[in-house]
Amino acid sequence: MTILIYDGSFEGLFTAIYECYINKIPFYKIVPKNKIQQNFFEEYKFIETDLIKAEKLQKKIISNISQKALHKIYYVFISEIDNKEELICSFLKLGFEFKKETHQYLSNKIVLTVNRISQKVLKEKHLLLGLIRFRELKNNIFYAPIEPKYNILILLTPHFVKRMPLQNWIIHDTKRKIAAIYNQKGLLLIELDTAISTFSDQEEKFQSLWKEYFENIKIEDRVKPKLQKQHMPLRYWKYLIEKSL
Amino acid sequence: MDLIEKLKILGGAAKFDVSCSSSGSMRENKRMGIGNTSVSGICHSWTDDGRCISLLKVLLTNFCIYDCAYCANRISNDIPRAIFTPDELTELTINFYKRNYIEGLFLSSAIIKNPDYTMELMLKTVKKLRNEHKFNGYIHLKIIPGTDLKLIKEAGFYADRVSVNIELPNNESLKKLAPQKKKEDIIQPMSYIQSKINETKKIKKVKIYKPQPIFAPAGQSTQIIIGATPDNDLNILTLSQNLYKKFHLKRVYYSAYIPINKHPILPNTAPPLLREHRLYQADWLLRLYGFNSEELLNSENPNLDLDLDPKSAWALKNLHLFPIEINTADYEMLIRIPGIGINSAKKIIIARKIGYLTFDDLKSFGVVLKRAKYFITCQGKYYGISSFYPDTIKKFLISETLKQKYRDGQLSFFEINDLSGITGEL
Repeated sequence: MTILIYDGSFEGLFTAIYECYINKIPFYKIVPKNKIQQNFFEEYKFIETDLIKAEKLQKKIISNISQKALHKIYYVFISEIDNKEELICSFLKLGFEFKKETHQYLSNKIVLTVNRISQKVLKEKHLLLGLIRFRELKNNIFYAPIEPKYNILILLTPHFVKRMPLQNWIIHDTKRKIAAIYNQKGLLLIELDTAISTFSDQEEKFQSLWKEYFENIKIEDRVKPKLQKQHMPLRYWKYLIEKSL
Repeated sequence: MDLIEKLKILGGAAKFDVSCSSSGSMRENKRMGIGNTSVSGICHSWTDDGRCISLLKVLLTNFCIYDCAYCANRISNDIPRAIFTPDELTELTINFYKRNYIEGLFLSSAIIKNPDYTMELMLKTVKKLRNEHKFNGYIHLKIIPGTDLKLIKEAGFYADRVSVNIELPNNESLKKLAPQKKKEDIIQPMSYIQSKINETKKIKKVKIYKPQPIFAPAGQSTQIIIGATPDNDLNILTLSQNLYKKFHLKRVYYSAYIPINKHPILPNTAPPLLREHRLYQADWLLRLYGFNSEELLNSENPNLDLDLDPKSAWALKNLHLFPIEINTADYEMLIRIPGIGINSAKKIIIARKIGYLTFDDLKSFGVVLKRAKYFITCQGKYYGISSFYPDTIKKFLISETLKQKYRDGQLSFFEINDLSGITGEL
């Protein structure tokens, strides 16, 4: 069996799927290049990422299935689960068969898994829109480190571009070592290794004001740490101001 | 007094106000400013007692001329007092907002000097935020009862949501416990706000070239204290229903009374939080599930059952309507099934277009059947228990909640054991 290798990007995966699709061959096994496990008996073929082919597939998904389906596929991709390629391929196969009705097959195992994963990704995105904490740096940049479970950095940016158009800001995924940088004109995605910690002079003042506020609005007789953690899981506390690990 | 002291006092003084929503508004950033609002609302943190923090919720001041029996800030209480200047409040709001601590500001106040003076100070802060700082984030403004309508009009054009607190469910209690507040001072602004909301909505519908300002785009809400007076749940829910129907309120918030002050006509114990919870459940049934308060309660049963959620209680009283066939029931009926919410009902409607649904299908896409199973059939098949009597089903429903509590660690094994005799299942 031939195994297709792609560069690990979303467009790369789409190029690989497009190749299978256009050549009318059943979907191959597709793996990202950093996950190749050399096997003597298998044949490997490296697929060069081709933006045009990737876009063609995107358009095909939108017209044949739906925009929603494309979004869900993207959410599965950034969930970084094992075998995401396989799940996406099976979902597409189903999608091209059932067309616009695909999303009605709620109890189909593949649709179910895709829905469940997209929901988890979207839930984390929504949660982080609230839990991100910016810190003011010396040079008037607002900096927010995050460590999301899923690779949702890009999903977060449109919200803050709209909300803080006149502020320079950086959102830094310290786990994946990537950062989104916004300079009031445009957005840039870069690799960024180490977290920044040179804060402005007034930063500490507002941090302690926030902490005091947080402390003083709790209702002592009704403290429910378990409920609090249900809403705001511990893994997000590392970069909160009002809580720490 | 420094800012941190003021924040401690005036943040702490606002913590019993239960509203925290930041949803329902679509204020956009006009590019030269800071902030916008999110239609769905965003929680930015959760307090140690598990409540969502969305807005910087503070009082402008806790200096008060009134002496309401239930209130911590009443004039006769000896407590530390403070007042924010508009500059201090805007500085806090803007800097918290820039750091993404909050969605915006929730500004309430005790009454200093007189209602108009207080409202003017609050407006000054809000205007500063909107005009000087170009702040487009969410603002919730509390309307002080007895304020001149002119000021309320201004408030509505600067805030996303406004609210007048009803506080007590009837006029008698108001006279006894808050003698300086008058019923008219509460109802009049509410109906005025409603008329302004309607008026500007109408303008919005007509196509015009220059967008007109919308009055309180996120609507109005109110708050009722539960358990400070002998009012029953039927009184309270009927009041809420009228508020939703007459004034189109977005939300009525219920706040379980906390005994802060000693007063001869006030109870010394707080009502069970469970009652507050049941009222909220019933409130959702009124707002989103098409129920009437008369369906849930009547003069013979004027209080909600603390053992059962209001929908289950209603279903048991109307068992002749059940079981309902999942594959044919319409949406309005589906959402009346205990345990089936809006999301589940929508999923059922989508999925059954493909083919008849089985019990396992429902399970597979996440419909919770713990309670629903007693009230439904799937393709004619019933999965509940053999005897279809209200009392038997009630026992099973209660035992389900107890099991849940046991799993959550809220109940010890011995309590469970004691109850096994009643439920016969554990």
